[in-house]
Amino acid sequence: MRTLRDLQGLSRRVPTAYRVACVAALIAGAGLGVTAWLSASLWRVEGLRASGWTAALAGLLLTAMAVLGYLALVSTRRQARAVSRDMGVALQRTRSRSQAVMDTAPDAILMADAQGRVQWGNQAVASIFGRTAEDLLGQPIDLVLPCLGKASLDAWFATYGFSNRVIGHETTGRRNEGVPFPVSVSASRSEVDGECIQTFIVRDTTDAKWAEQELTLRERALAASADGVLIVSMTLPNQPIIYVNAAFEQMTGYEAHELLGLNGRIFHREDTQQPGLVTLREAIRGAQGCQVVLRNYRKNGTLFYSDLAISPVRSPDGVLTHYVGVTTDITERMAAEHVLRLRTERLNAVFELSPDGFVVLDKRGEVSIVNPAFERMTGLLAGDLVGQSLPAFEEHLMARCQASEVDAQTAAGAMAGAGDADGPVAATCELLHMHTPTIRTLVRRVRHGGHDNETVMYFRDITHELEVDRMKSEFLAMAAHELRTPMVSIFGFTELLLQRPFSDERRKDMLSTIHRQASVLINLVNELLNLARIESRRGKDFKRERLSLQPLITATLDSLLVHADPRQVDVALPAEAIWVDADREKLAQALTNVLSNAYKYSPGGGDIGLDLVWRDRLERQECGIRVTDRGIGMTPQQLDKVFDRFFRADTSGNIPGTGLGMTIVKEIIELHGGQVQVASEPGVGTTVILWLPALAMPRGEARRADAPAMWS
Amino acid sequence: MSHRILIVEDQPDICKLVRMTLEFGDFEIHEAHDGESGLNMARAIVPTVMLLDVMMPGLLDGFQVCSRIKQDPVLRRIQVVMLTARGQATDLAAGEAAGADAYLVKPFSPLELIERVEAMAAAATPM
Repeated sequence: MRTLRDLQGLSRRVPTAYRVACVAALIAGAGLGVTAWLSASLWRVEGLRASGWTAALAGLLLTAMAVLGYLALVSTRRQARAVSRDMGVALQRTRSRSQAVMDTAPDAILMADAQGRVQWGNQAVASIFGRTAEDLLGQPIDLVLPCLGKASLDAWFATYGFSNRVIGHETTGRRNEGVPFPVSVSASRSEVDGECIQTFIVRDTTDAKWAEQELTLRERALAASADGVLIVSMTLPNQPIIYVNAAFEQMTGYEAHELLGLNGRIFHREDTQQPGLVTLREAIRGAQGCQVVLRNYRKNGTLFYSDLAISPVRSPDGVLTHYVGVTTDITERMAAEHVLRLRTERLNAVFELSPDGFVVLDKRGEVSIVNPAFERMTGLLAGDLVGQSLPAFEEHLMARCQASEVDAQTAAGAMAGAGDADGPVAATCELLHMHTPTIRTLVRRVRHGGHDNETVMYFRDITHELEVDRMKSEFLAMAAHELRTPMVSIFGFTELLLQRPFSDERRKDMLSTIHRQASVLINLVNELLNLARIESRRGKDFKRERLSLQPLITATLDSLLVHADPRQVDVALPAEAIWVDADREKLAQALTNVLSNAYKYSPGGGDIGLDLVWRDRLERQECGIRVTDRGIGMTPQQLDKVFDRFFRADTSGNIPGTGLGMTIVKEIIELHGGQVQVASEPGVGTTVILWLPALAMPRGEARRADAPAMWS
Repeated sequence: MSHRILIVEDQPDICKLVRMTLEFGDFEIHEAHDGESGLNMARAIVPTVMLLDVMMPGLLDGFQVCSRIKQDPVLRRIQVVMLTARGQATDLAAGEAAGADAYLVKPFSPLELIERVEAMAAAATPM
């Protein structure tokens, strides 16, 4: 601009200067000539004629030079005119060129005077502000740039500018409709011909702002992500990490500056033989994405499981430039999964091994799990039941039951408990009396609801429990009866003796009754304790030893005390020792009980025999101690009860006894791994064989074929 | 006129005790040692008071004998005293169900027994 103006000024000023210079030169030349002639005339008068001619010549010369100078000046002026004409054309060209530049510029260019009134604007003004430059002419510039009020212009330049220039000031523009939008304003102010010109270049930064905001948002999102994010450059040597987010730092324990520039293998340390790494390397080699689980190590060396997904980034020409990785610390999830897997395995084992039956119906109401115990209990097979509906399952089950009853007590308990359970879990309880495959009683508890709306049925076989309960209460009743009976005599006769006078003879009779009944009581208590001990210890307190049967039998016979009975047991024992593994004392007690029964139940006399017999059972040799009497014997009904507690073959009360002897014999022998065999016939006699596993068979033993006489 | 008393008890010592207890009163004492013979004897002699053991060998226990007697229009007037070693609530209930008039739990006091029997005999019309 300046050059343009200078040129313009020059073209205007050059002819004037020429004219003045030429006239001045002419006057000067003429003046010099006159002066020179005058000087020569003067010197001639004084006699200096030669010098006068010389001076006239010099004046003529000067005049000629002045004429020449004038001519040169005239020529120069002509040339200057031509130059000026050429420059005007160039100027015109430059002007239209700059107009084109300004109109093509995407930024709005506004010029304003000192008062901030718009003087000129380019074409972009229309597209940016929504009104043409012509509309704005003479309008205050704060119409489109609100921050540039007339009053605040100086301040604005002072605040944001430097030597009257402002570059890239971010502010808000206003469109025709009054809609604000972000702009970047650069401005300058200058004085031209004493006139203040302010030029504003306004760039609409809406798109740039939006892009910047978008970028910021994305960066924020990355930074705020709970997943670790890292970016690896694939173009730099050693493929370094170039970005990690905060979550990644937290996960690994490294700070970003410690990681940037390093290769990601820092996280695997020596643990390089991981299947995940093989997959990862494969994917990177093929410039593919993948997802793997890796064992990574934090800065402090602790292991964590990372679920890493990587995705390749390619340049527009398809060259792999970066990998973006997103990783999650799944250590807890792995641990939880591990726990869950263990739990499931354990639960399956429990289901498999449980002696109680389980049937689970899924939320669709179909049988999904049937455990082996349930199969055993009911004879219904899992293969036939799984997938069946509840009604079909019930039909199968009920076909095997003769009755079912709701267990009122447990049902009430379940109802009471349902109140504090989390969620609508209902539990019912019922007793199923089955007839197939065998008669048994099952308790069924059904729990319906829970998180998955499953139905869990639990079955417990209480057949044995019920039997044990029945036996227990029967035993208690029997024991009470047996204990109270002798007490009746002791208590009653004592009271009578205290209250009433009796003859000496009757007193003696009463006292002997008391004594006898007291001894019955003592025996009973002893035997009950004996039995209780044997049953509770289950043979654990047995002092098992390798002992020979014959000396034990002989010793037992010797210590047998039978009042007022002259009979001797007819004993037949082999000479060679027979060894058994037994508790000497217990075995002697069992044999004593059997022998004393033989005496007691043959009140009419008859031989009592004892010998040894042999048999094979469970692939081993058993030796039997056989005791035979010719006593009152037992009916088959009595024989069935011979091992029942308190059972007495004699009901007359003439034969003393507790009804526990044979029970104790059975317990002792069975705890030795043997068996008690009893054969009897009323009025003929009874044979009892105590079978015991033999440790070694005596050589030459031929008694095996010698079957017991009573049931041969 | 002496009242007939029938003792049905399988334990000989207890029979002896009851007999010795009652012999101080004016009673005619009869004995049976199991349920069936007890029932038969009751039919034969129709005692005023019957002392009936519960647990006895044989086909009939004391409760069964008692309920047979109480169902019999002729025998129902017999005062039945159950003698039992079972003193639990269920046993007492069973006695009541069988129609027993009194219940004595073993071991019992002979003096209490004779008091009961005498009271019953006094209340009953001699047969």
